[in-house]
Amino acid sequence: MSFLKNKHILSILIAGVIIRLAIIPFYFHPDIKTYYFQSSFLKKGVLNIYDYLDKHNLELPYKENFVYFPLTYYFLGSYQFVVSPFLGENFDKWLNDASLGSILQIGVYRYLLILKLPYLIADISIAFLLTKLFNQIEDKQKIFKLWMLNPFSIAIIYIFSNIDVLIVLMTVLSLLFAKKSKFLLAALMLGLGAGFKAYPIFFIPLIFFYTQKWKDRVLLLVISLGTFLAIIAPFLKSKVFLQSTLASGLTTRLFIPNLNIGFNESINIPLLILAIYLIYFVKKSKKEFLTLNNGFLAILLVIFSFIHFHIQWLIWLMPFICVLLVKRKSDIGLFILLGLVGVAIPFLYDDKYMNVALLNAVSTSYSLLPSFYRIVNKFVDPSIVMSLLHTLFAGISLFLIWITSKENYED
Amino acid sequence: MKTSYFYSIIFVIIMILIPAFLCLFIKLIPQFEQPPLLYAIRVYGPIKLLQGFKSNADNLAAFGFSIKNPLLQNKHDINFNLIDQSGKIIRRAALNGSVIDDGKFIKVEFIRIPDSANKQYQLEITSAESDDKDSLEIYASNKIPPSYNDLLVNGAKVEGGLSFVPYYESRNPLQQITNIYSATLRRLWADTIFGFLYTTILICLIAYYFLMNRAK
Repeated sequence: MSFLKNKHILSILIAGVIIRLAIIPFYFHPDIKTYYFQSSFLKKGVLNIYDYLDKHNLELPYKENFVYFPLTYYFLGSYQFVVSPFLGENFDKWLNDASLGSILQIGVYRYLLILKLPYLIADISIAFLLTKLFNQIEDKQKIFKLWMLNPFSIAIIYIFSNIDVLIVLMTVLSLLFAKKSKFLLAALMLGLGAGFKAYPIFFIPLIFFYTQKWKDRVLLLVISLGTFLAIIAPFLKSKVFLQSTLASGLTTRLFIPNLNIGFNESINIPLLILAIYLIYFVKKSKKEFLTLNNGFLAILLVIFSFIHFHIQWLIWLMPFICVLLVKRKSDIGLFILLGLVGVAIPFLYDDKYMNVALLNAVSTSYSLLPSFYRIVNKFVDPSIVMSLLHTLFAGISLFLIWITSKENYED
Repeated sequence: MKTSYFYSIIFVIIMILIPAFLCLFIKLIPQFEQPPLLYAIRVYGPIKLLQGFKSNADNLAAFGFSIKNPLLQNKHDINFNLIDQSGKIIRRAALNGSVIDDGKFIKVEFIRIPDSANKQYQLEITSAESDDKDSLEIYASNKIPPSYNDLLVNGAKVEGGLSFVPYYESRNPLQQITNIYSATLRRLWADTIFGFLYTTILICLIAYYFLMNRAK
């Protein structure tokens, strides 16, 4: 906490908090209401939310399945229980009201602030944890500023308000523990993170080869995968759970980009690139924490390059980009371009809640505006534009992976 | 260092001004918030819904509804007739079931009525080509605004009313921007304790920030 006595850091912290508080109550994405509604059943004693939602689907105001892993449900459900005195007696009624007009009820700004509070705490925690990755005070200040004041993170976390920042916290903790050679704790963080959303599992091979001792490697595998399996084990018999989580979203999209080589065989392109990168990582003689950081970033860049992604997933990349930029500020232009292209792609989805309808908490009139998809569609097929942007994103990503893999990059 | 603060301030200003900028493109303003979606009334064949309401402004131009189209089965027209105080149909509109997603909010637009303020209207809804197997269902509510009059289903009065929203064409963008921002602030401070705490904390943080940087 002596870090906070630095007036520059305190100034950045206060500026960052002001920016966040100015935005939090007024931007609304319906996902936050849906998953908090689903998590509200924990306080009614529901332990298996997957089967419960499937069984009672017809009577519920929201028809979506719960698509996250169990820790998300238990965390959000417990948090909701703890803060229920501050949410007030009308909160449950608001949660159950699926009408468009419900977003304009008195109290909604309070609800949105309280519901997004865990993300604010995780967000600021990440800022301080990132400073622990560096020894020089100048580097600590740089990364603190990069995280607290970068508009991409702020917009993604608080406007689209998904739970991803909680998993990002786990992955940053994992990186920090790996830097301090506390590999088993690093593995535990990945396992716990995967208990919310699956993507930290992709980092396990890198931490495995980052660790030098075989005893640590075995324990690392047992702890990371064992933690994840322990979390999902009670639900493996549920078909709804398997369909909602393991068989949807990221896990299946990764297997879509294939190169047909005939005789019913295909080469999966992202897994091919990931395999090549892993071989490079294993072969790299000198591995420092920055190597591991770049490895985490490379894996995510490959994944995003070859799948249809949600905008809130882009936050997964941010801490690793910030770490890299501390040492290589000259590449900031390229990362800003990557960020702009990455954000532009989901903005063009045929979904008003990717753009105009995010302001429904201010006025529901905004949902009457056409989405960017409809506007672009008047001139050109939006899928062509999205494809071009995604190709550009993939090109920039692969270039960044290449230059960050060079031996002298981290000097 | 100053550059990053500059960009951060610009970012906040943009996020605060985005609602104002987008306001310039809003052509329709809702009369009130959509009432909660508590139950649904089927519309098909001989069933005719008649919802009375009082328009509170000039330039009435559209209605918004939430309509169920289970399994997207319905591909028939649903007709909307607006009837004035003298019983005359003054506006007609129709939507086809094929463009109505199940449970989604849709709006029905018509040529604006310039002098609609403080007048009673009835909205008649029918879907004669639909049958009971593929009927559309319009959401209704028993928590209705004071400007609602009776809801009649085939002439019989039903408790509550349709969960719909009348919209008015915007003629003055600057007035609209002012209305939207003032309505937002009113809603914020209507939640009195929260509004006070939130505003106080934000102002104190901003003041502390500027004092701290001035002292440097």
